[in-house]
Amino acid sequence: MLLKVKNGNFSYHREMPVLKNVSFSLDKGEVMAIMGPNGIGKTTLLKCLMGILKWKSGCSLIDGENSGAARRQIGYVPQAHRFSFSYSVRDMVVFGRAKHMPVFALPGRKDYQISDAALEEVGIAHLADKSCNQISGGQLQLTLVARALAGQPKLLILDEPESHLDFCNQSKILRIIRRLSIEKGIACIMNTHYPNHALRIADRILLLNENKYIVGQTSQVLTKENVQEYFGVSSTIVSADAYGREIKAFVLLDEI
Amino acid sequence: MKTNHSKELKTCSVAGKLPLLVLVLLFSASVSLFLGRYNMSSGELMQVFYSKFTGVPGSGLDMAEHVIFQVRLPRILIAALVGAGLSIAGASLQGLFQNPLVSPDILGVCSGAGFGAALGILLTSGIGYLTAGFSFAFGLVSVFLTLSMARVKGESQTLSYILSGIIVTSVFLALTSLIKYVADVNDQLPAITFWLMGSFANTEFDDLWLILPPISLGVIGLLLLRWRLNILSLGEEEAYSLGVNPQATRIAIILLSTIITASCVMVSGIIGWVGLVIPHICRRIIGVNHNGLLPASTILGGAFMVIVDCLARNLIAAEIPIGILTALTGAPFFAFIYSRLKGES
Repeated sequence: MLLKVKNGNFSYHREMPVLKNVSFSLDKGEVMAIMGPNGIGKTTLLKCLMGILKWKSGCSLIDGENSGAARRQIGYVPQAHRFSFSYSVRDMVVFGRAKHMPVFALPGRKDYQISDAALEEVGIAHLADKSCNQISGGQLQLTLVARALAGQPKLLILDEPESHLDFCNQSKILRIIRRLSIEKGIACIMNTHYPNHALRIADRILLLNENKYIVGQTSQVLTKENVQEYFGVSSTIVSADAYGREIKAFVLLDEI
Repeated sequence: MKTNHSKELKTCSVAGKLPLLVLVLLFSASVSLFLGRYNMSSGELMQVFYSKFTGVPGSGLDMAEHVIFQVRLPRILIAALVGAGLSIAGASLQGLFQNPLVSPDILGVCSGAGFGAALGILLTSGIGYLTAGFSFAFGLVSVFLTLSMARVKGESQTLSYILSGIIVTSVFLALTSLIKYVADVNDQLPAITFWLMGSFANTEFDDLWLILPPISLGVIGLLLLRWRLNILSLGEEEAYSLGVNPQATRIAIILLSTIITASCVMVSGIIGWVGLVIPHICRRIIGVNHNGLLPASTILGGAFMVIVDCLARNLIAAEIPIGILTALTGAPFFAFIYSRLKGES
């Protein structure tokens, strides 16, 4: 197992636990989607995994090492946001190399090569010299993915990578995540609000709600019963045949 | 192939602009050496240099030699050093606090150092080593106060640093006013007031040797950290998620900038605007990456200060306090650049 979370507990205030006894594991090359209502602690969970927040009890391990200490193995893709200084896309991606460099070092030829390869990987090599604050939201999200890849992670953590993106960019991001997990064996954890995206690319699902969670194979966890229980909406799964494949999707049944 | 090409082009342009800035600095320094109240012909100048470098004595130009090597040269070197120091400190703190409107006194160094100097003048009725020492010491004290206050708040976030800086600044400004109030109106009060306006008048080689070590230490330290500063300029959480622990580097950058700024204030009084304007101009010239920005700010800051000090000496018969001139030249220049290029960013 690449990632193991054992009885993780976290709270911002002692009386109000956010995460209670969370345990799960993730293997190399697996994609896991974390779903749950707003403000339930999805981002908090990701921050605990990265060691930005400390577990109150329990732990998370990467290859048996505490995941905060092994932060080097994790690539994090934040939600796209604007930066105070408009670095070029290439500069931004090279920043992903920082964790492998000593504190006084400047990035060398090898760092630039790895970063350029990461730009190729997500298909935005042509934007390398553009300013990060002048490209579109979708391109910025891809830049941040490339930056995470430049750090050569074993585990990629993405915070709602496809929110705020148009249809085309949504599927582009999902395709990249799928490809990275299959071709490079990178494990991916993503927060998402779209059950249909989870159905498309996730091997495993973690459903989170107040004081409870459920984790398991996508087909077993992402059912209309669980969606009713965790989100309080009634829905059904429909399936469409396209190009000889069956594609499943949730449809909301609630009266609007 | 295309990407490689453009990358080379880019590094080339950064590498090409730095020597250009060095030339500007050298040119302004040498021109400034020949301009001043004491007029001399170019023939005399040649003679002075000739006798200085060949060791042939008695050209009969002792006065000219004294003016050039004992009055103007130390002053120009100090001006360059102070300008360079304030600019790199400003650029670094702007990066650290993710805000291009930050200037080197954001954490209260200048007000602390100003208070120290005022106290020194009050106690000794003069501008001697005690005044300089007090100024430097209180500059450091004010930043330590700011840092510890920011730490008391628990989360060492950018905002709490800046708020603590504002608190410390206002306390020291009030204390400075108190000292001015009790100071002797005939000699101490004018001395304090002029000192606070900033000036390079009466600087000697001794002052240069006094500030050279701390400013060099600060500048070299910041230059070494210049790429890492990029990561910190993305914000605390972003730095963490990039696998970098920002704490130690942040404290290092704050301390180095503080040492530089306190040293500058110690010999020249409070000189505003340079640390704010020069980094902005350099961002336009060389880009936002601190890799190029910090060296460029250092060099251009030095050149700017040499030029402004030359104006301060030569514009009118009486010397203009340099703090006034940097604001008078820097502010409109800044306004011009800002309005011209606003659309671009």
